[in-house]
Amino acid sequence: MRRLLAGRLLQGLAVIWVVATFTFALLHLAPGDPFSYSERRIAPEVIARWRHVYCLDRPLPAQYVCYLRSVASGDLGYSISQARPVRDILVDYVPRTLELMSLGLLASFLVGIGLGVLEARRRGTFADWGSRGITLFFYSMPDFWLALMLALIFAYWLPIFPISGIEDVINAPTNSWWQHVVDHLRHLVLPVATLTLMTCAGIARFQRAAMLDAMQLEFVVTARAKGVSENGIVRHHVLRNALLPIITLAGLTLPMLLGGAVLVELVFSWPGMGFVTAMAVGSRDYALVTSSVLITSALVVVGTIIADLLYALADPRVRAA
Amino acid sequence: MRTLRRIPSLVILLLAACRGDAGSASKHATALVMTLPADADVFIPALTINETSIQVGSVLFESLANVGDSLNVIGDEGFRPGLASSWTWAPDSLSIAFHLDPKARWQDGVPVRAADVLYSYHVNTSKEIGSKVGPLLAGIDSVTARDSATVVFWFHARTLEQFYNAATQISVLPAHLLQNIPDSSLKTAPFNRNPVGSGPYKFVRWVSGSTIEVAADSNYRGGRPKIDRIIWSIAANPDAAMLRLFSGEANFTETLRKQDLEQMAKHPELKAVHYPSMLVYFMRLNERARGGKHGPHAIFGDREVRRALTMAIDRRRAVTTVFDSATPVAVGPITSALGTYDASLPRIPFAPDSAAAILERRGWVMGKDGIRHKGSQPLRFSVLVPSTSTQRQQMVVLIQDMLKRVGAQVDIERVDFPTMGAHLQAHDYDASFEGMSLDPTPSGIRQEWSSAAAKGEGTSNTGYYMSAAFDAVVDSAVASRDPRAAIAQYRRAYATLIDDAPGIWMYELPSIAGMSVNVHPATMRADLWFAHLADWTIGEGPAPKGASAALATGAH
Repeated sequence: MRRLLAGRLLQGLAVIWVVATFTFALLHLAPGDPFSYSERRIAPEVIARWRHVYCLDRPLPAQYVCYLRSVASGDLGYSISQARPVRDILVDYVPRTLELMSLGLLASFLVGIGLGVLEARRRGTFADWGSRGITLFFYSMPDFWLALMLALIFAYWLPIFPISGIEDVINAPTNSWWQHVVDHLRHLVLPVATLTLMTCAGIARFQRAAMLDAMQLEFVVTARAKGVSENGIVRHHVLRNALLPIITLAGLTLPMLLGGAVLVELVFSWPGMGFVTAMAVGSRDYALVTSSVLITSALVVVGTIIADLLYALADPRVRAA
Repeated sequence: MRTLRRIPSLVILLLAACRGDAGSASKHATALVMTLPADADVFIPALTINETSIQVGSVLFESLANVGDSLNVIGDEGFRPGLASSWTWAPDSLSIAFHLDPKARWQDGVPVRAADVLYSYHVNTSKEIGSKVGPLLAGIDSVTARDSATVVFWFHARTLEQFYNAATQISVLPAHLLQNIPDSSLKTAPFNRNPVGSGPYKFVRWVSGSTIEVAADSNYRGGRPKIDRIIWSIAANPDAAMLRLFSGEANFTETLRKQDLEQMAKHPELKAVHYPSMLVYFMRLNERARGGKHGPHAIFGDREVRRALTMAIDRRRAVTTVFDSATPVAVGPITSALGTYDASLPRIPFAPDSAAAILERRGWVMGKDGIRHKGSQPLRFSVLVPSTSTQRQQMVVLIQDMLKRVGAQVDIERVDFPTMGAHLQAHDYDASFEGMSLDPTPSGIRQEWSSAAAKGEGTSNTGYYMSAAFDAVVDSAVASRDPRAAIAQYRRAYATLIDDAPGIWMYELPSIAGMSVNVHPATMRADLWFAHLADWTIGEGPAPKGASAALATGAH
């Protein structure tokens, strides 16, 4: 188990380094830098000084060495567009993305597994076809379009939920803690619903297949022969076995959800990592973009490692191997 | 089990039922919720170029005096008192003494003193800090405190804009809270997240990426502002910002685009308010070979060719097609909001036949492919245009079509702003379609178009326009002590520039703000639309969602 963990950690570090290097290279090779905007009121000598302060007047390899050195020492740099250390920005924004993502992940798996079980139990019926058709419909939609449609329907035409943001800006300062919680949950509904609809189809299909496979196994046939009720068979025999592959799927769903969260955050103005990264890309804020990508890849790596470990814990054969 | 199944839908219904009521406007508390697509960075005005920060800073901090609504920046005519209640010119005009308002207080109760002005001057001119304002204060020799309530600005020489620079460019900061912080750490000082100013509004809170809020200061010496709270509600992009306005979650946005205006018609609870702007849009022509190499540009190095291409473009038609007939065609590198504006300045007329004749005369012969050539050089060039601006892209397509008729081929390069900026700074372009935000000071034209500006690195005269005649007239205007003579000279400079055609002046775009019908803005100035925010009012009518709930709790 320790070897497995050590191996996965080393792989993860390598992945993070490659991602960070690629991001650094791509950003710096793109034309322009944080100061190449058309702001005419700023004197050239001021801009030259700023470039010097942020090491942007040095050759690219020197900037790369400078970057690696600061990252290795835990200093993620200074965001030029937000005028504060990147670490402080991440402290503000990462929890919001984690909140959105974890709720999205939870809801996706609850809905996906529920639908998968339903489809497997009612295989070939209208419910099976209908559920698969509907989830496939949402699955095939572009995520930003789905988010826009939900906003249009549930925040604009039927003003049930807030259209964007994380709080009711008028009432937030005076809300009691429970009003704050309710308000925050209301703001979460549409972004989480988008993430859920985007991903639950894949989980449902995976769960359905796993359930159907498990239903063919001998111990299920035996249980049925012993007169165990269909509900009992599904709950105690089929579902438990069919849930094992889902753990792997969780690791794979994580990057997809993170990617989706970027667009969802932009549509719903949810100030998380996607929101801040998009703004940082537009202003060529090198330190912020590279750190955001670094953190995102780290989250994916950690998520994958956790999924691997959970799988190993759940399946003794993997542990033994 | 059935009950369990119902829980998710019950939770959703409960959350939906808890929505804020978009009820009637508050009788006791009013909130202006402004939606905009950018977060702030720091609130110390000297340290920021961020538009949101500048807006917030404008209600927190004050300068010694304020420009009047006429936007006169020559002498002190029309200026309104700010932190200085009065000022006295020295007989030789080489110094001005500002007398601080004795009622002026920082929001922590400490009086505003001369030491604050001295410290603020230091912040704006410190090389360590590198403020954008520093170069504008180059004409100031020093600032001294005559006593705790009087500061004296000493100038190197008399200029028409010396008062403007001294009185308005420096936002005064509280020295007692900041002076112990090293210059190098000022940008990261906690003060930037929790500022204390002397202005009409007090800072309340800043939730990164979400909300910035200020509240009216009841102790403000000029009287409590009429709107109780101003909230900047940060959206991820302009579309998200507009959705907030249309859904009633915000009641103000500073810029409406053409597509937004069409939507506005469906919202009787909203209104569009036009206000003047300092923005002029034009197509800059690079007169030197791409990349800043020596030697003239094969096409735009020839003044007559630049003029011919200008003649080939029906600017009125292009502007009407993309906008409407009310949008003014730009006269030159100025807008009608400037004091030196002159609508009668001679312009290069739309004359495609003359354009073709001039091109023929300059050796550009029409080829079989419909493109003119001069030897092996085709009359073909590219135009940089920002990919985020639909209107500019539409405009360039029209220009492309019009120039094709006289045998010029235009390739359109759509790029993002940083890329466009990089091309401009490296002089690596043929032409670029730009929007220029003008300074109210007429002398700003020197920074834009003078030969000195062309020679410097990283300057805004990226097209290498150099004219000794233009330089001489502008220098005379800047050095002049007679306002009338200076204005006449500036107008001569504009005429020279228009005649030389270093750019094709396309349009002035008046800004259009969107707001609830019950929001009543005070004068929205061309240079700073938010200059009079403290005088805005909100009347009866729909409030942004949540306002009535705030009332119900007795808040504010």
